[in-house]
Amino acid sequence: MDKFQGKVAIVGTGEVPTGKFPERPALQHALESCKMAIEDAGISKDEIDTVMACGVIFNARYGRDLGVGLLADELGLCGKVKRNFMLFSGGSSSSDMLELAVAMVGQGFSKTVLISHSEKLAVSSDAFGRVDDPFGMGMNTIMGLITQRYIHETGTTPEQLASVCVSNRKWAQLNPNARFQKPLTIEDVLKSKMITTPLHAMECNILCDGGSALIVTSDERAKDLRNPPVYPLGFGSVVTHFNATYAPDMAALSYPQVAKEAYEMAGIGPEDVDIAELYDSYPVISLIALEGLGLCKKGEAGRFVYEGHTWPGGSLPMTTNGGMLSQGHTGGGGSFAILVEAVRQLMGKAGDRQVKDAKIAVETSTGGYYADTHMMVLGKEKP
Amino acid sequence: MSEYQKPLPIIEFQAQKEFWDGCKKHQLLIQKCRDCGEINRRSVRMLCPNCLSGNLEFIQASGKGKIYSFSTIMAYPPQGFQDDVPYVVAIIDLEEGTRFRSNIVDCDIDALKCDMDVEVVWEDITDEYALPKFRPLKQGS
Repeated sequence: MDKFQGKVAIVGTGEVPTGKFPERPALQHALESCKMAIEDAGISKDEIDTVMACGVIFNARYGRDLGVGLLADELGLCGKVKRNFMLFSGGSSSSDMLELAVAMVGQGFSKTVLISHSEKLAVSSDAFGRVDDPFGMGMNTIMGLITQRYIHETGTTPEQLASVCVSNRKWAQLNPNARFQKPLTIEDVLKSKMITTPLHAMECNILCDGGSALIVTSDERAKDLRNPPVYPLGFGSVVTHFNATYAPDMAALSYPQVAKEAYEMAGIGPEDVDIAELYDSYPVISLIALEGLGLCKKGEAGRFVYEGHTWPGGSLPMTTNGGMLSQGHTGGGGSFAILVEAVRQLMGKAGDRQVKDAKIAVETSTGGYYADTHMMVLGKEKP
Repeated sequence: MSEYQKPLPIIEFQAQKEFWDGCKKHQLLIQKCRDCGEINRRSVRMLCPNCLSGNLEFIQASGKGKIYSFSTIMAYPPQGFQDDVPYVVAIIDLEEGTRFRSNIVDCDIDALKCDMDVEVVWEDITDEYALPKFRPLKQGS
């Protein structure tokens, strides 16, 4: 593989608020966030030669339309754009799409790629469909099973688990695009209703509407643009199963393996990480990722978060947009929001959440029923 | 038997039918590849995940295994399960290496632990179907 590091850059982001907006069509989330990303990058829209739309869950027709030219048409790119397609791998779509964009720009197949996500899940409560399990398992129970096994192997306490929700909420309170901003304490989490042991209601995410976009281009072009470029430096990923029941190691998932791959590709180690933008659909995923990425020792992530090290002002800022637990879960967009936040942080455009002197961010995602695990390393400087 | 309200197993290909026919006879069947000998960790497939052979056979499992993990549903169960709350969904690793999702029954919910020994018990739910469920193995049995 030719080295892509330093040749391809993310140069713009756009994001609309995450929330419940029954009157706003998903296309509006898409167009507004794409327009913001184009303006943020300071490019002409006509420079875009590839449009990649993330597949959606809420509506099959909209999802199909995204794959056959909808955004190219709405953004006035027809006759100029070389390709418009849709890609979907659930919550890890953003990782797969960014990898593809990096490969395409790095190899010269594309000059400038627009990556878009838009979704409308807040009012379509059956969006994921029924699991239809003869044994009565629902979506939250999948994570109840993973959390239980993690607790069994690590001895993590309920307070430590709940502290992930508190950490994320503290960041969300600084994020105008986050849906959930009210102050939250560990006691609030633990006194919320037990849904599926050991998970309380406030440890389960809430589905939302939202949209975001990224612009990826060559370093050559990035030099003339207004934002400091953000460079993808390393990727690691693996698909381990389809049905969550068969996840081989529920207490670690595949974070150690993908972290090794991503760190080696980037030529860095955990000690170099300034910000951990970790996928957090449920609190245990953040703890598993902290350990798998070598940012904490096995079994110590709960204490690390409980002690406040990941909170604003802590030594390792984590999921600084508030994550899916507090910004809100937008299906395939949950990790888009986390990726957009990683880019904003490295560009120095994260507002009140800005982490000082952040040079290296790691970002994780996982799709479907935790079928795959992705990690990427993003940097402010060329290697 | 009053009309059964919960989801029934989904049968889309022959091997799934054979599996559920086995359950009806209270036999817990697992798949083995006749060509490479691989035991399928996930029941039931069309092709052997090791060598892609379609030449698979069923063998009868002991029905004994361990709880890999479990969760007790306390609120908002899926449709049809309201009267069962609280009930336990669990992942069972059989001695043979095959994994099942099921329920733990006949148990003290508060005493359940990961890695606990369990054995299969059968619940006849309709004239066509029986579900394999699991209960903690009594000490010394």
